[in-house]
Amino acid sequence: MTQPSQTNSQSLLDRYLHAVRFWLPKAQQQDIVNELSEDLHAQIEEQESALKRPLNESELEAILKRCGSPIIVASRYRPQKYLIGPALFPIWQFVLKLVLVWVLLPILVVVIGPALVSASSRWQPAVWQTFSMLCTVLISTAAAITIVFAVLERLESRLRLLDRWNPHSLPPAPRTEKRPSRTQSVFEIITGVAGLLWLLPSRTTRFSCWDRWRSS
Amino acid sequence: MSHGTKNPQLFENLRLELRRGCLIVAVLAQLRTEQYGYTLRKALADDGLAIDQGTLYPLLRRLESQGLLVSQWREEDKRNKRFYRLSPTGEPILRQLLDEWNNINQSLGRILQEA
Repeated sequence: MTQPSQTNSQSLLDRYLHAVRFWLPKAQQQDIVNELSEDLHAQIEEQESALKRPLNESELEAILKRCGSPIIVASRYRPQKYLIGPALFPIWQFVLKLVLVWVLLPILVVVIGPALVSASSRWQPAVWQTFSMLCTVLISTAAAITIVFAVLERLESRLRLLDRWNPHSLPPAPRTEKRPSRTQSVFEIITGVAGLLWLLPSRTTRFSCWDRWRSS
Repeated sequence: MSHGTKNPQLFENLRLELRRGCLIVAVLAQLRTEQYGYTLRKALADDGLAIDQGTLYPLLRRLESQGLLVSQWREEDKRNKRFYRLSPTGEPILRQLLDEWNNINQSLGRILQEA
C-alpha cells in the first residue's frame, strides 16, 4: 500500500520543485532547488518519524502549501524589478491621461470623426472607421509612452537623475494656497517629459540640460 | 488593540514590516555558529521567531551576496546540505546592528514611559 503512495508523493514533490525551478533565474536554478528540496525532505522526514509512517498525499500537500505557490517562492529569489518604478509611475500615469484623454480623444471625436462622417455618403462606416482608428491610436500611443518611460526608468535607476536636484531650481510657489491650475500642471509635465527625453541622446550636456529643465 | 482585531490584514502588513529588519539581525546572530537552513529555521522557531523557508532562503542568499555570510555545500547524514555562517565582514556589521537595535529599543522604552 505504501509503495504507490510514496511514488505519488515523490512525484508531487518533483512536480512542485520543477514548477519552482521554471521561474528561477537560470544561473541559480540548481542551487536553489537543491536547497529547497533539502528543506522539504527534512520536513517530510521529521513528520514521518513523528507519525512513524510515510506521509500520505494530503499531508505532503499541506507541507507544499505552507511552502507557498511556486511562482511566489521563486519570485522571492529575484531582485525587485520595475518596468516603471514608484518615482516615475505618477508622471507616467499623468502623461498617459493627458495625452490619451485630453489630447487624442477630443481630436478624434471632435475633429477627425465628424470630418470623416461629413465626407462620406453613409455615416455608419465612417463611425466605425473613427472607432477603429480611436482604438489603434490610443493603444499604440499608450504603448509608445510606456516604452519611453521604461527606458527612462532604466536610465534613472543607473544614473539617479532625480537625486540631482537643487532647491533653488524649484519653480516659485504661488502666493495663495490655491492648487496650481490644470493648464499650469499640464504645461509643467509636458516640459518635464520633454526635458527627460532631451536628456537621452547626449551624455555630455545631460546635467546642464537637466538644470535648465529644472529651472524652466 | 481593537484596530488589530478589526483589521487583521493591516496589522499583518505592519507586523511583517516590523519583523523584516529584526529577522536579519536574528539570522546573523544565530549564524555566529555554523548551521544549515533547516536547523537554522528550527533554532529561530524554538526561540520564538518562526520564519518560513520562502523567506529564509532568499534572505540567506541576499546576505551572502552582500558578503555578510559564507556558505558551503557539505554532506551530512547522507544528504547534501548548505551550511551558512557569519563572515568576517559580517561580524562588525552584526555588532553595529545590535547597537542600533538597542538604541531603538531604549528610545521606544523612553517614548512609552513618557506617554
